[in-house]
Amino acid sequence: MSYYDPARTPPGAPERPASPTTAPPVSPTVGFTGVQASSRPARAASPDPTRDLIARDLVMTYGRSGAPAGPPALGGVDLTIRAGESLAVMGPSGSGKTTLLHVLAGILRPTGGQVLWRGRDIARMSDRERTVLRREDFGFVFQQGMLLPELPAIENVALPLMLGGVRRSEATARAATLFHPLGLSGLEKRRPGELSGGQAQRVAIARALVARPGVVFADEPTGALDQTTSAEVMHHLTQLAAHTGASLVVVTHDENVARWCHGVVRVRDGRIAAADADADDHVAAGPVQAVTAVAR
Amino acid sequence: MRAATELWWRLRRAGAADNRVPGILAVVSFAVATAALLVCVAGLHAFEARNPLPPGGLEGHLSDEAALGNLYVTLAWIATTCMVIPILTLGAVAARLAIARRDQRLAALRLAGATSGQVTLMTLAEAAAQAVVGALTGVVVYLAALPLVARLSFQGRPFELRELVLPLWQTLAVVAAVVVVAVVSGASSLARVAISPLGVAARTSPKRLSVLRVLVALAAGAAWVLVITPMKEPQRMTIVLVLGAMILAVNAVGPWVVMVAGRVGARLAPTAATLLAARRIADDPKSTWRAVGALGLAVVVVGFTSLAQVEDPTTPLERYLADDLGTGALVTLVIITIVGATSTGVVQAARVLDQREQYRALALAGTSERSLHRARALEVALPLSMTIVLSAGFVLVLMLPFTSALDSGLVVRFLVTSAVAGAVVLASVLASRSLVRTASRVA
Repeated sequence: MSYYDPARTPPGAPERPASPTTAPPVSPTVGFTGVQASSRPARAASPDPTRDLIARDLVMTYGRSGAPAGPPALGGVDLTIRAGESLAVMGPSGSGKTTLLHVLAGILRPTGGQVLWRGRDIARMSDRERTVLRREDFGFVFQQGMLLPELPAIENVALPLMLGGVRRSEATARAATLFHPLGLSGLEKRRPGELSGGQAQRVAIARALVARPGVVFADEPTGALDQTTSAEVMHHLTQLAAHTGASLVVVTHDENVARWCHGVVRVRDGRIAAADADADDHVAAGPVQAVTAVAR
Repeated sequence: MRAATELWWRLRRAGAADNRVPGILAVVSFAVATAALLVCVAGLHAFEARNPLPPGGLEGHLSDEAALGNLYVTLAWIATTCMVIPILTLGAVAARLAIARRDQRLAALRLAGATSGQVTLMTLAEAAAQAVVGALTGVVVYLAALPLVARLSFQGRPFELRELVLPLWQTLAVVAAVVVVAVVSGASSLARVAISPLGVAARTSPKRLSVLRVLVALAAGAAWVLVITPMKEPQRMTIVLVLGAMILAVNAVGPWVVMVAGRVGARLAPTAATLLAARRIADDPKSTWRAVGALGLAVVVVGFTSLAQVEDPTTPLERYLADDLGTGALVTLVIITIVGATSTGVVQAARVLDQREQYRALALAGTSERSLHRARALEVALPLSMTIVLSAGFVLVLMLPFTSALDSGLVVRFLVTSAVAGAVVLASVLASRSLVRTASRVA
């Protein structure tokens, strides 16, 4: 069996019957407007603290010690991202959404509160432990692929595995299985400079998912792409995450991108202003309590 | 234009913290290049002053003393020829660093209404200013180093300060040469930026370097063996010219060898750090060579001079010659090692600055700082060790026609000295550790 098998749903991953995952692969030449909010995929039922990413009362204040603190970037956020689910984090610039992503991913240590991942508090981990966690349990997709320009695509994808100590031959073989499902066949030896924006972003998705992370964090993953390419990238991102059982947290400005996710939270002034599609009057198909988002 | 100049000055000041490290490195490099060049020229000057041409010139019968004096001057010329190219390369590398990471500033200046010509002028003025500051610092370093250089003993007596102090016009000429090198290589780097004003580095598969480079090197090697070896008493300028051609040939074949080694290394690399290092080497073999080539050359120079033996010294002057060859070789090696270490440090720093976003992305994705340091150390260590081994082998092969049996003690000393010089150059990678730390800081 190949490393990535579109027909296979990993044990424990929620079924995602709704249209984004079953939509036919989108070709860049075909116009695509995104999935309607009313057909947003349904969520799984009950929370599981051993598999979910749970944030409790997160507070983040920037500023030097001793200096008077400004308004907090995060002012008490509670959030649960369920295993295998995708969540869009939306909000205006400066609202604290990227800070939230960085705190959830263990990049920033919050001033207060907890981030529980598989029962452990990331906020209490040492720098070293968080580095290992990011390498082994999390995957990252940035606005611009951030691929290493001197490595061919396949080596960019294999790199996280090799950094984790996997043998090169095995790492390359595992990386190679991701190219076909992402529509990248034949581009394995291309350098990032020889790929289009959408192709580079799909290589970045492969790199984020190759180590089979528990959660993939995507910061404006389509920010540099046009609408058609953006839909194509979100299609691949959500589908591949679902098939590997990874949760997905997407920070975005774009409603069309958010529609690919199970849930949406809207952040304003460091607080969660609205959960799911409340803000734009769309009601998600799944049970609202699955994503616990409390405006405080 | 006034608005643009004002903006340039404001950006300079505002960006000071961000550009401090590259700015300091560039000035230090210009200073090292200038000081090294001045010491070389001063040495040459001293040997020429000490060994004036006999009244009848070099034609006709020379006394033993005059012939030996002439040999010293020839050797000084050879050493200087060998040192000039790495020193000027350092100047060029420093100029590239001086104008690196200027993309955003250039874009801001264009938006403010500066023409591309004005932007070029301002940026080159800045590179030239750094070169002038560095070169003048280099003059001070040279003057400060003179008492130390004066303790070196050649031909049975130490140098005198007055032998080593260059006339003002020569000092100024060296300063001017460094500034000219800075402006010329700065302009050639800027030409590439101007083509792509957004500064987007679209790296494609690197072009293969031509095999022609190998043929050129083989031809130069053949010229050495066929032209110089059979000559009983080759003229100084013939040796200098053929040696210069040899150095150029080595510089032509060096990047090619580095590229091939990088490609083979990338294919075989077992770990992430080795793979990254090998790909970087294969991607930009010329820049890798710029960093390690100088040392390769130093090893060649040291090899030639330290392994050459004086057969049956009869006069005291001839006895001095054996010691002096060793001293001269060591001085050459020390200067080239300092220059090579500075080059390597600067090239590495420039690479980290160019790729800081990728460094940050790697760190966010959980790559430890240690892995990043290891990849960089390998990136220098692999080509460096290869260069030293190849250069040392090259010397041993080329020395064969001159000596029937090499003194094994001298050979061991030569190999150990070369290894120590390599270690010093490798250590220069440490200079940009703080840049890696800054670039890969995740929060």
